Amino acid sequence: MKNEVELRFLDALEENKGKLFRICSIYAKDEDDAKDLFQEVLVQIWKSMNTFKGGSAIGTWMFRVALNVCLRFKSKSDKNQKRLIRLDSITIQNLKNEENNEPDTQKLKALRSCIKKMKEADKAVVALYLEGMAYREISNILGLSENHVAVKIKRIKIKLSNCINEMI
Amino acid sequence: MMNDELIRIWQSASNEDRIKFKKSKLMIELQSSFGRLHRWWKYLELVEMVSLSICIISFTFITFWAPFITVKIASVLFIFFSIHILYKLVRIKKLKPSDFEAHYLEYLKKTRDYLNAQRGLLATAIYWVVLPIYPILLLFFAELWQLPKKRHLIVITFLLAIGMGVYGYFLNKKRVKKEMDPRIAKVDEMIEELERS
Repeated sequence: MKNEVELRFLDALEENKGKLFRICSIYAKDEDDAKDLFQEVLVQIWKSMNTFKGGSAIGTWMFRVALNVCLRFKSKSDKNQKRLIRLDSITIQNLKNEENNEPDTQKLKALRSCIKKMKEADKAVVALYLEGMAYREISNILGLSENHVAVKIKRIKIKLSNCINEMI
Repeated sequence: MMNDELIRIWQSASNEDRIKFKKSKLMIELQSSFGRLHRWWKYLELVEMVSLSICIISFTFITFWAPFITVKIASVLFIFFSIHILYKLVRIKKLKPSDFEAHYLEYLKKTRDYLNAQRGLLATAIYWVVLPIYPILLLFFAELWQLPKKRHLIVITFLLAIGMGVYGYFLNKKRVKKEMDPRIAKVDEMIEELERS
């Protein structure tokens, strides 16, 4: 039973680690902060793993936990009350030292910078949208109606596009 | 910019960050960190329970063995006072949003409720922690005042209690203003932003 939970956790983690890390990076101040937050997210996901009932896809469930942990982490870091966990088994290598000037890299930088400027609530919506999730899944995670999500995304996309165009 | 393009650019970030983990070691670390969190929480509960128990046992003892009736009455009041404080703290603890699986909006609302409850507790602590202590202390020392040898001790204790009360009042006021109010405003703003189309 325990092995089953472990396997399910590891499989889901392998599949979603990149997405989870990108969500963490939205809420983090810098790279180190994002790594700390990612580790905290993993601990909380593992802690809640036994309570996952399978009502939604495991990825959707993981995003829900991740967003709530990011929110809590943010309020903790505001209060300087971090109580973080270090997991030595996780390494995050940054391969951007090539510093290429490809248009996509510039756009990515601009996109990240624009997202950082957004309001906290919009960050959650845009993070899920950019991960390619369906409106139904996003509404399931955020607790909003699908229509509401669609309207918000439409507004955010316009804002993002304008912001990126201004920066490039 | 096309919709798909935004998504494609965003997802290309995964080419920059390579996340690796050693499976077996990760599981051991996760188990151990979970145990650590669990132990820490238990420790907090234990400290609270022990402090309260010591307080109740001490004043129960005084209630039965003290020679003066006012000391007995004050001790009983101290016991009720301690139980009342614990009750308030436990009630607040129940509001703490620990369910990470809730909807984001629901989690935000739970966080707001918890922060508001904490704020209320801090803002009103003067009425249910600081002020009730003085009449009980007065009652406790009323008959002991007749013993000249104890007078300096009574004066020092009372001054200390007043000093701590004033310090606590201003500390709580500062906490509400600097820590609670900005966080509540921030969560309120996020809820409003999320609910707005």
